[in-house]
Amino acid sequence: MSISPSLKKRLQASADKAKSARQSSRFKKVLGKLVADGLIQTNQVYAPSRGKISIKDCLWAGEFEQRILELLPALVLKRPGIFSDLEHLPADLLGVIKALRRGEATEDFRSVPAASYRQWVARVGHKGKEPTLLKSFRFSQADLGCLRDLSELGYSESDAVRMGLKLMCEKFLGEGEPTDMRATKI
Amino acid sequence: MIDKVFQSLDRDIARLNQTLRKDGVAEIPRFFIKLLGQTAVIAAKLDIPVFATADVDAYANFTWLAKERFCAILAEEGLHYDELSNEIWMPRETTYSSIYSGLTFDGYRADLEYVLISKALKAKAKNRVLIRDYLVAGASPLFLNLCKIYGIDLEEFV
Repeated sequence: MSISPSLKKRLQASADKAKSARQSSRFKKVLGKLVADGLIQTNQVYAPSRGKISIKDCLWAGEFEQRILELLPALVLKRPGIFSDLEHLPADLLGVIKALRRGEATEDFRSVPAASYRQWVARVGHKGKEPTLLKSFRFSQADLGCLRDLSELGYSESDAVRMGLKLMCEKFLGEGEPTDMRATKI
Repeated sequence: MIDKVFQSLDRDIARLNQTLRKDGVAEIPRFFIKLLGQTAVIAAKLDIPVFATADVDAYANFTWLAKERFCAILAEEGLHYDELSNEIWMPRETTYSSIYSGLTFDGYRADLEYVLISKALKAKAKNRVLIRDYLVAGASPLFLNLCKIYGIDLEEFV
């Protein structure tokens, strides 16, 4: 098998376009930040970027290196302070962020499968911490009394519920930590 | 960076084995770590730009304790061992090059062509740029032959 001259020419044209993009200051600034923060490894040299980076530039650079798009939703969610233009989130990114907050992200983001971008939520910013979700339950007076008693021992009501769930999982499911609680600090 | 991790792991396991020996406990048996994915591509020292996340993919036959030490040393370097690595598909013909032979384990990297075939088949979108750059830089006859065997259409990388 060999590469036909026509295919070679088209590959070269496409590679030249990417090379030119990678040499631009926009790409270097984005990579300089991600490499300096240990989020991307590379065999290239990028001067560490100081200051904020632009989401617009990240989306553009992501066309030439998809791993940037893989990291972007988690970064917007967990490290919004590194971006200069949070107020201009495109609709698809905003939709993904909202879904991540609800723990319901299942849609691809610009060809990045949900599983690929979701994994970074617990691994960037405050590590091991994922967005918590609001759930409502009706408690009896006796249940509330238990929560009050536990809170006098120094546990918040949320901590008490989490600990109860953890103990039940250990007892009935034989698991040290249920999947949804791995990121929960008790 | 992976050279540094391997050296550090080797020293660490050797020290640990010394303690275990003194305590009359079984030592950590010799094991292997075979790098896959982008870590293997970076270790191949290509001339084209290669980007990777902090994930390290590797087949390994280490014990729980050795894996814990490996994960801890990777974490010191800001890296993360993907514990689902054993599920990564690699062509059955894959060959591995030795990159480290220590006192306690052997380190290998999957040869570039096989890693790229795995990427071309299983994660095309994510690796389109890498594979295109590799084709432009001059793909090896082995890679082109593997593309034929695995029915990879190079037009998809334009």
